[in-house]
Amino acid sequence: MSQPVVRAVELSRTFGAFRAVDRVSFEVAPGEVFGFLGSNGAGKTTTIRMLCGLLAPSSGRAEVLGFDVATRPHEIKRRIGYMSQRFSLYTDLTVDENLAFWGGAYGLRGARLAERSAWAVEVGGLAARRRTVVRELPAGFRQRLALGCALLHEPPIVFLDEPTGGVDPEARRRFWDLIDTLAAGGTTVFVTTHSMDEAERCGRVALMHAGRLLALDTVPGLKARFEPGTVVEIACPRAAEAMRRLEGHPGIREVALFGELLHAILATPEAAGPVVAALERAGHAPAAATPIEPSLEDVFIHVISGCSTGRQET
Amino acid sequence: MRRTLAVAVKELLQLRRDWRVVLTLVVLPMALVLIYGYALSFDVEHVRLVIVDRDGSRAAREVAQAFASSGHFDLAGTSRDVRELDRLFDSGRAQAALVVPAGYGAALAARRPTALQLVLDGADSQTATTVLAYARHIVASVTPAVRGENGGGPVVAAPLVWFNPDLASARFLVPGLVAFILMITAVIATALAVVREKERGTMESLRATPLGALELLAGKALPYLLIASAAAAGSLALAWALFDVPVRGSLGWLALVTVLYLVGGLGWGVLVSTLADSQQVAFQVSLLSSMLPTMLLSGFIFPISSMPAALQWISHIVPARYYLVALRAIVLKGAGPEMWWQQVVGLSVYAAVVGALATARTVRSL
Repeated sequence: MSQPVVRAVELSRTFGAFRAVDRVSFEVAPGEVFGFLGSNGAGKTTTIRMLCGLLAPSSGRAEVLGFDVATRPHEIKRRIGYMSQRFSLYTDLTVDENLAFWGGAYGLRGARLAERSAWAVEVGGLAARRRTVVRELPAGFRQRLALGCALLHEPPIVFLDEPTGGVDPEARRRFWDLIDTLAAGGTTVFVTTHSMDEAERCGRVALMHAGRLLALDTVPGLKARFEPGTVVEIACPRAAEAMRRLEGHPGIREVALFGELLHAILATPEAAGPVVAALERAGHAPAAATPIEPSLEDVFIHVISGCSTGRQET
Repeated sequence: MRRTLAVAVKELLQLRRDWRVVLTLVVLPMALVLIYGYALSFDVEHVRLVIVDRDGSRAAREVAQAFASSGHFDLAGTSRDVRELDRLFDSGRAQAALVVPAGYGAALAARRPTALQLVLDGADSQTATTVLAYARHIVASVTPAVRGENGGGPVVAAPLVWFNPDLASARFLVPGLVAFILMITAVIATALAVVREKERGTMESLRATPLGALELLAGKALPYLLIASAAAAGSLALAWALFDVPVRGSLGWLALVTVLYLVGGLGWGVLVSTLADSQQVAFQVSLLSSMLPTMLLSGFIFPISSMPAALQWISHIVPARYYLVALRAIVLKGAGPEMWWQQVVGLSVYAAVVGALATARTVRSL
């Protein structure tokens, strides 16, 4: 790994007695799509705000592009792009006016501003709407415009805080295509999300929960935490009742209802036979367990439950 | 500078879409000058006067005539009986009565001292005081000079009023109004403009750009400085056209002092914005904190010299106090900087302190 773009060491932030971010350490390599996955309140936004120089860390340290976030936030702000969770465009200005303003805020002007604005219009698919007031743009267009505005000054890294909230699936897919294009061009993308689908598209994913970073790996790496064959789908009659019977069964680690099917994590792959036999004895015949690929959600739930029972997996 | 300009242009574009704000900022001050100029007047006219002439001499008629033709009084009736006055005052038919005692004419002819009685409704002390002053003036102009006992002429105090010879209150009030309106619009407009960014969430994105606090604030304040200056010019032009209040002094100095005053006001608006999180709170705080001190503690209506010592001391942090003195000096007297440079110092100190506080708070809190 070459010189990391972001390096956080024991980074923490407290608000009064509340530890929003608790001793988080990680590194992000150039050109990575680095995902921060966690539910609301997990500390994702607080982390991103510290990395962008908007919030001072309470303890620990972090560097972005080699600059310390606590002492040189201005150097960082000149070199990064940031798309905040809250809508960061002026809805009473047109597409062009927004581009001109945000370009100006980054100190661009003249030919460079025109060239970069044209780029943002093109990648955002906004050519026909340059004079449209942003208020009247569909959410997907706004999101792409906001991303374009954050990238006008060609930063080597862009921080996106829950960028696709409130956007339809098609617009979301286009947005992520755009992220892939950026990453392919060498831009590092640091993105927070609480959507498992989006996290699947990241190169590496950090799982955040209650301020702690619980796991950090590539998506296949995270899924490989399960021994093959331990994640199964169980088909049987009266699934809801069957789920209650399986809770506490020695061969079952976790079980959840997925529509008409049960989604279970087994203690060992060999536990599948006894579990099915137990269900059939209890009157849920015919029952069948099929091994499936674990989803990121399985990993997430698994890691969190491990955390809450004291088995930390960092 | 480039970034400041980008902010100013953006702010102007937003204002262009929100023309109601511009209209409010420019037209409202002028409307206020109009309304206050006509309504807020300390001049007293059409006082209903009853004349009780118990003398009937030619001299008595001359005094009565002088009152009637002064323009301040309307002759509401005559009477021969002082006892009738109670009824006239109670019914509201009379606000003042002039009693000419029997023997008034004879006393004057014989060059003996004599007296006239003026009965006033003291319920409105302000009006009564003013009417009394008018009456003294009229009496002095019609009674013949009385020889003093030791041979010298009587000593007559002849008041000579400069700069506002007929003591019209419009001349006194208009500069105050301009100061009042400018402060309110400058403070409210800026506070709202900054808080709006917080409310919409764009402030967070602005903070992640290399825009410095000072660049951002200067850029946001610039358009409002222009608009408030236009409102000031419009208000003064209106006062000149309608109330005959010409600007006697230099327009250049006037502009300089006004801009200095506005910078302080804009700074205060920014300071308010760092305390408020919603436009509603910002509006109320900025309205109260600009309107009350400017109205009550600046010398706009109540003279500072007659305030209790504590209030006089507090009035030193009210920028309108300095601006008003300079404004009246320039507009009414045509005075040069040697007469009001202390006020410029006061305004500069205020602008610098508030500006520094506002920038510091913006850096920390936004």
